Parts: sequence; C-alpha cells; structure tokens
Amino acid sequence: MITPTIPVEHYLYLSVILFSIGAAGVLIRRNAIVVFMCIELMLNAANLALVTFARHHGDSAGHIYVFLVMAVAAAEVAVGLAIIIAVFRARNSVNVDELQDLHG
Amino acid sequence: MGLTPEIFLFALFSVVSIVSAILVVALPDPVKSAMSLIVSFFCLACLFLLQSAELIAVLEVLVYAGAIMVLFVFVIMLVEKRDEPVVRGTLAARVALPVKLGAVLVVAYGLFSAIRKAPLAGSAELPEGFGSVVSVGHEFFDNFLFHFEITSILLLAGIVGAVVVTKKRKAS
Repeated sequence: MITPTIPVEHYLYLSVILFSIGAAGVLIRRNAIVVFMCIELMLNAANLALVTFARHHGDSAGHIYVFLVMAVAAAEVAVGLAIIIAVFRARNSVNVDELQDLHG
Repeated sequence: MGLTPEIFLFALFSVVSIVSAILVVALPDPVKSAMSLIVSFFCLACLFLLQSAELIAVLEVLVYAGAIMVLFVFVIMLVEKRDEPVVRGTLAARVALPVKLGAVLVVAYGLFSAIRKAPLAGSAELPEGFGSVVSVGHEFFDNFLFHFEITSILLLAGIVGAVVVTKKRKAS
C-alpha cells in the first residue's frame, strides 16, 4: 500500500464539493429516480469524510461506520425504489412536483 | 513537493469524480445519470484505496457500483417513459433555481470554513494492516458486534418492505 501523504483537508474539501453537488441535484431535479441518485451521491460524500477521519486518527472505527452507512443505503434504495414503482403504478408519473397530495 | 504518483492519482480521481457528479445532476436522461454515478463511485473507491481503506474500496464497487446501481437501472427501465417537463417560465420557477443554488452554496461555504478552522494537523501513524479485512473484521466483532446484528435486521426489514410495497393489491 502507498502511505498516505496528501493532507486530510483536501479529501474533506472534495467531500464537501460532492455533498453540495448532490444537495443541489436533490433540490433542482424533478425526476424522483434522479433525486434518489443524488441522495446516494451525498451519502458517498459522507463516506469519504468518514474514511478520511479514520485515516487521520488511525482508527478503523470509521470503516465500520462506512459499512453501516452502506447497509442503510442498500435497505433505503430497496424500499425507496419499491415506493417509486408503487407511485408510478398509481399515478403514472415519477415527477416529484406532481405528487402533492397524500391520498392514493 | 513534486508530482508524486499519489498526488497525481488524487488529482485525477477527484477531478473525474467531481465532473461525473456534475453530470449526474446535469444530464437529462436518467440512464446516463446512472452511468456517470457509477463512474463517480468507482473514483471514490480509488480514493478510498489511496487512504489504505482496502475493504471499504472493494465494498464500494461491489455494493454501490454493482448491486445498488443495477437496481437503479432496472427501475429506470420499468418506469421511464418521457422526459421531465421543461421548467415553466413563471416568476416562481425563475426565482427558485438561484435561491436553491444559493442555499447550497451557503451550506458549502459553512462547511469549508469549518474545515479551515478545524485542528487537523498531524495525522496519526497508521497501524500495521490498517483497513485490511482482518483489522476491520477484528474491530467489527470486538467492538461493534451489536451494530452488526442490528444491520442484519435492518436488511431483512428492507427486503420485506420492498416486497410488501411493490406487491399488487387486490382490487377492493
């Protein structure tokens, strides 16, 4: 393995940039699937920060947190995409602007 | 400090991951968004490797680029039928975009200044085998056993939830 020498700040700045791009995507895009993908992007930016701090402190607990985030993301994607399919069946649309009322 | 291989790889993968993340947001076709998201995940896995997180890098490619994105592409195939409508030219729609981008920039600026002020000098020495399957596995089963078991219940709930939500209801 290469011994890491790049300053921790660089990875954290990259993580902030990716998180911001994901947040902008969640706010701007109207397709529910793309909104979901942007949420995955934000989760991965958080993962990058966790891995960076794990390396910074020399403590592999950060890797455990990344593992847990991945498990949560997998469960979230399974249920979320199921909801998107159910909504598409009911409304014939995945545009989040058209989904404004609670009753099916 | 010259251009070491590590700096070159960091610059390459960070630039590619940022560009592909922007493409995820900017491309109108969800399938193309999904493909550039896979590129972004792959670059992140390489950045994890650069920080000697081997197991996490492998899991990133397996779980995200493999399993999760396949699920996304399948759902796009099932659902997709037309493009998003063009944003209406009302005043609210024209104001909304700069307001949203401004809010994101404010958050990003806050995080940037927090990182600049944080005491981050002097990383710790990495222990032998840091980030390998053995060390992460030891950490997991010595200190995080409860979390591991809860994760399995969470995934079970996810499976059952996905099946229940997509099941066709009988016409009442």
